Formats: sequence, C-alpha cells, structure tokens
Amino acid sequence: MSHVHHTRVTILIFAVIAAGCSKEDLTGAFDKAKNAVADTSQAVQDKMETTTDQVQEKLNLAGSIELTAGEPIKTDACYVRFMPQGAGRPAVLQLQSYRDADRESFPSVFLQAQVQANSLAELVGEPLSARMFVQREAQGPVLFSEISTPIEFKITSIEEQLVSAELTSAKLRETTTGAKIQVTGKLTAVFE
Amino acid sequence: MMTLNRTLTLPLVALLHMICASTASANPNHQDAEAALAAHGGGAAKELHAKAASLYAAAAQETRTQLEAVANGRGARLSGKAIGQTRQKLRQIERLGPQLEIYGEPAGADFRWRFPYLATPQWWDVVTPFAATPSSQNFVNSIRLAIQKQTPARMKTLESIQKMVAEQKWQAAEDELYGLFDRLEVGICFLSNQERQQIYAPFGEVQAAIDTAMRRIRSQEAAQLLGQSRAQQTPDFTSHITAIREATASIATAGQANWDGEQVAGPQLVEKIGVRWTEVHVACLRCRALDWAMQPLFQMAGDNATKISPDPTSEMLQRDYSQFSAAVIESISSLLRADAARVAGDDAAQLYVDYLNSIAPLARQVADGNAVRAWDAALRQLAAKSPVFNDEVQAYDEATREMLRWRARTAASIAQARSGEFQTLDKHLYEATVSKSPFLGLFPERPDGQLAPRLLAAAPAIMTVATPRLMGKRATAFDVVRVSPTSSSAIARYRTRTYANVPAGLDLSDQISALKSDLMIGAQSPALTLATATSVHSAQRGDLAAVGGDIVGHHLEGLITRFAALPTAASVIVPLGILPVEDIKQPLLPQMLMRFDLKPAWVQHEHFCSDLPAVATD
Repeated sequence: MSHVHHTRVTILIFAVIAAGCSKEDLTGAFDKAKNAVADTSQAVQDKMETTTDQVQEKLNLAGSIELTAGEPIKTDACYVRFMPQGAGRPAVLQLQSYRDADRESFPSVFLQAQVQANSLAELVGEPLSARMFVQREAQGPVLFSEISTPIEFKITSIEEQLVSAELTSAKLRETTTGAKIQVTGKLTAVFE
Repeated sequence: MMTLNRTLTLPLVALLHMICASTASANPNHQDAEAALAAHGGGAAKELHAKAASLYAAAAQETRTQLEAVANGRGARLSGKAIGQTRQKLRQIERLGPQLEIYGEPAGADFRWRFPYLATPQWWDVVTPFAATPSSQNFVNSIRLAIQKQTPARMKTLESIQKMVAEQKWQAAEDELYGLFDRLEVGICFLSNQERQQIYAPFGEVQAAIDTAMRRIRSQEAAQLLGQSRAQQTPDFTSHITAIREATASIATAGQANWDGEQVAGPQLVEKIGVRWTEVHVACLRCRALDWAMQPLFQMAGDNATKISPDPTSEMLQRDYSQFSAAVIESISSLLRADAARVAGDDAAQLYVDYLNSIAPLARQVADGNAVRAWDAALRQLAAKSPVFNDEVQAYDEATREMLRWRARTAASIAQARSGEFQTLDKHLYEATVSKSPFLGLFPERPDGQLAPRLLAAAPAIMTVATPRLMGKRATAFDVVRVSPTSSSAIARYRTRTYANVPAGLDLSDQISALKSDLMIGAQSPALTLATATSVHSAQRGDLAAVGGDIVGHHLEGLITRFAALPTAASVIVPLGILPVEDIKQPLLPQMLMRFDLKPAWVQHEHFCSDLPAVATD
C-alpha cells in the first residue's frame, strides 16, 4: 500500500516539475497530490477489504450458513459478534451472513440473541432464543421471527476461531404472504 | 317549451340530489357538497365571502324547491316573485365571485362556477317554462307594464349615477347601479333577452366605468390588505437567529441560558428552539400562500409588483427560510458541542441522555436528513467526554444498528404487500375527479400540461360525482405525524395535493413493547443512540411511515386557503425546513387539494408494521 502511494506522489511531482512551476505551485501540487492519494487510499482500502472477504468466502474461511426454509438457503460467510452491554442490559450475540451493511449480499441472514453471559464460551450447549431475519434476494420478501415466537438455537462448539450453531426450533413468518415456514439448519461463523 | 319540459327530467333529478340544504360546514365535503370553500382573508374579503356563501345557501335551497315543484308538475303554480328573487340572488353571486378573486380567495373562483351551476337549470327548467305558461301571462304582462311606467324614474336614477361617476364617487355609484339592477332582475328575468337588453342598454356606459373603477379600487385595497398580512407574517429571521445564537453562547459559558425570561439548560433550549422553528415554519407557509393569493395582483401590477409586496415570487422567503433552517440545525450542533466542552464524566452521560430525549422529537419533524446526521455526530462528541460511557454507547449502537435495519426492511416489505390493495390518495383523487364528458372535475379529460387538480366546474358538481367514488375505498397515506403528543388526531403529511386526518392514540402497545425489547430499552436503561431514541419516541407518539385504511370522509380545499390560514397546531402538515412549491405560471386561485379522513386498518411505523383490530379505531 505504502509503495503504491509513494509512486503516485512521485509521478505527480515529476509531472509538475517537468512543466516548469514556481515553489508555490509546487507546494500546491504536492498538497493536491497528497489529497489525491488520501482519497484513493480509502477507496483502495475498501476494495482490499472486500476482496479479502471474497477470497476468504471462496476458500470457506469466512464461515457459512446452511438453512432449509422450504428451499435451501446457503451463504458463503457468517460472522459472529459477542457484545457485552452496560447499564444492566443483557449481552448481545449476533450472527450474520455479511461483514457489514455496506457489503451485504443475498441471500442475507441476521440472527440476534440477548443473553446473560460474560463470554461466548459460557453459552456453548445452552438453549438460546433469538430474533432471526432471512432475505433470499434484495427487494424480495423477508422471513422473520416474531417477538412472541423467537427461534431456538444452540452454540454447539467453538473451535479454532469457528463458532458452530444449530437451529433447534425455528418458525419464520413471510412478509408478503404471512405464511409461517419451518426453518432448520446450521451456522458456522468466524469472529469479526 | 314542450321540448324543454321533456328533456328536463334526468338532469333535474340529478341536480336535486346534488343540491343539499346546508352550507354550515367549511369546504365542500362528503356530507355537504354544497358548502362554500373556506376563506382565508379578513376584512372586506371575509364580508364578501360571508355574503356570497349566505346568498348561495339561500339560492341553492330555493332552486331545489323550485326544481322539485317542476319535477312534480307544479311548476306553473310557483310564485313568480319567489322565482325572481332567486334569480336576483344568483346575479349577486355572479358579481361576488370575481370580487372575491381579487382578494385572492379560491372561493371566488368556485362561486364563478357556481353561478352557471345553479342559474342554468333554474333558467331552463324554472324561469323559462314559467314565463311561457298561459297562467303566468298576466304576471309577465304586469312586469312589462311596471317597467314601462318606471322608465322616467330609471332615467333619473341613471342621471344620478352619471353624476356620481363624474364625481368619481365609485362605491356609491356601484351601490346605486347594482341596487337598481337587482330590483329589476326580480321581474325582468321573465322577459325576453331583447327586452332585457333594451332596459339595460342606457346603463352600459356607466356600468363599464364603474366596473373598471371598482375593480381598480378593490385591487388596491386587496393589495394593501394582502401585502400588510404578508409583511406581518414574514418572520424576522435575523432576530430569531441572533436569539438562538446568544442562548447557545450562554450555554457554552454558563450551562444555562435565558429564553423568553426563563432559565433553561441545553436540552430544554433544544425544545424551545424547536418551538420557535415551528412558529417560523408556519409563518413561512402562510407567507408562501399569501404570495400565491396575490398572483393576479402581481400580474396586473407587472414591474410594479414589488410595490405590493417586496418578494412576489417568494424567492427571498425561500432563501431566508432555508438559511434560517440551516442556522437552526447548526445551532443545535453548536449547542451540543458547547455543552460537550463544558462537562465530563457522569455529567456528560446524563446530559447526553437528556439531549437524546429532546432531539429525538425534533429529528422526526425535520425534512433535512443531514440535520439528524449532524446532531448524531455532535452527540457522539458529547458521549466521548466520558470514555466509559462512550464505550457503552458504541456497544449499544453496534448491538442495535442491524436490528433497526432489519426491522425497517421487514416493516417496509409487509407494508408493500398490504399497499397493493390500498391505493395512494393522489391516485384515488385523480380517478374520482378526472373529467370524462359530460363530467368536468379537477383534472381535464386530456392532459393539458397542468398536472395538479384545479376547479374545472363548480365544487358541488365535482364532489357529488367524487363522493361515491371515494367513500369506503381502501387507501394508503404516508408520513403520518400526530398533531401533538396528546392530540386525538394525526396528519398524513401533504403530498401531491392530498393529506389525511388519521385518528391518533391507536393501540400500538404490543408493538412498542416488542420494539423496546429488541432495543433493550427499559426504565433504567434508556435508548443510547439517536436512531433508537427517535424510533421509540415516534412509536410512542404515534408517528407512522404509512397507514392503510378506508376513506371515511373527504374535503375539497383551496390550495391557497389551506396554507394561508394554517393553524399553528397543524404545522406538521409539512416537515420543518421546506415549503410547498407550485408552478406560479399557472393560475393558482382554482388550484385545489383534498383532505381525506382515514379509518386505519394497518399501520407501518419505520420499524414495525401492524394490523389494527377493527374496534381500535371506532
């Protein structure tokens, strides 16, 4: 990354010198070049992260989700986060098929549980309740668990940075038809 | 005459249904198609409107009675004098409509249409057949005789009017001339056109002079009244901004500010600023409507339009209000930053929560999404003054952000599925009022470049056709905001010439509990982000993204009147920071909008969607 930045700044400065500029012009050009590199830097970083995610997903290093909800739903990624809260709130366990909203792809899955625990390890084997949302395609209907009927799941293992979970009882409602659909499946997540 | 009698039955029956007796309620509506369009102005406009409305109510009632008599074969037995007096009222309405238009009243445009709406059937189905009946011949001949005998007296009156004209005593001349015409009309309405022209001909010259002069005088008076009203309504943007900035500076130094004689801390000041913004907003909405009302006067004045009002195209108003709104948004951010610089530790945490509670209600009212982002960023600076609390806020944000996003997505998907059966209000309005020969409504049969609804016929004629097409239909209204936290009604905000009244206080308790549960909000654990605070606050207040339900009422309103006479309590009809826009090249007086009354069947909050039990809205 650093090498790329320096090369671009150098090319811009040489171009300015070649055109025969004053000191003030050169200072301005240098600032401009730095800004250009800074702008590019964020874009490059974003691109790099996306590419890294894609590579990890291809190599099955980003986890996966395999569900059956009428038809199978598979994702090439699953990320897990355990987020302790303050002010007497429960901790939050979150599993999702995308790293963040900007990089969401479909099918997309989101599962969130409020838990009384200090660490994820405490939850292994415990029966857990969660809210769950699934969308097969962008703009398509959403399958969701109602607050009164949360899905049930278990963390089955945590091994080598992989968290495995299994749905034990899940009925999701479809937004367009209102139909209730039985969902089964497994989630294998990597830590974000 | 026989031909006329044979053809009257169908339109007569239809008209009898159209003409209702009451005009008590303001604006034509589903219960009273005959009600007059409301007026916005005071003084002469108010008097003219009251007179026209009263004359119309009486004339409509009398016409209905006469048409009923004709329909029942008792036309010949009607009183000639009573028929003539109705005719007299109709002629007065014909004159008052254009006068009201001078004062920028949309009701004037409607009264113009209402004259032929009543006068045409009355002429063809009542007056003309009555005059042709053998039993009426003595009555009509006595009128001819009386008119003949009164000729010298009329000529004397003419001389008197000519003298007034020469002395430019225009008002007195008008009173004298039209007083005479009104007295004549009672009788000469039964005479032939040729006879009538002979009677009126000698007055032609003075009538033209009087009409021209009185139009000028009324225009001057209207310009003065409307111009004064516009000046009074125009907010003093500079002093408001100065007051807000001074109060903000005081918070920065002392943590308190004096606002209208009251010592307030930062969060209370946000509420006070919100109230001030609302007042300015309503004033700006009224100003814009007054500029629309003055459109004919501005056009008449040409280059001198700015002498009537310095801002005829509302450009300055628009610019100043935009700058004011931007300054208010920035002031609230400054306020947060100022307090952030002043406090630390637990004080910062408590102040942060207090600010969230005062900003969340305002965030829902503001049109500019950047405002909420700017306030959110400033709030984060405040939270950062307590590192421990800041971590708590960050963790809470991370734990709730995706939940809100999925809730919003789910609610939108359910609402979209619902809205297939619930057409939008503007579509309902178009379908119910588009012209189709012989019906003339609010939209022309063939599009003519003007897309918005406007009077193409008398309001009662339009409403009579529209009402059965609208009542009970399923509709979706968007962006519903409760008028006040305790109000029994909410408003689906103005868009595409429609808005709606929706009952507030709907039972959303289960949905609110679920939302709070998802967001981990309780008595001891408040919302810690602006997004969650706004979500819960709006749900508790009853502010909704959309509502679907049955149309249980509708009211035709003049565009200008709606906004020129907007009550402060109804400020939510347009979000803070923006003003409605109209094509000022089109005539604005006939421009209409429709207010709907909705009985909700389902509601969509940004973060949930719910069916309502039928009893909930009864």
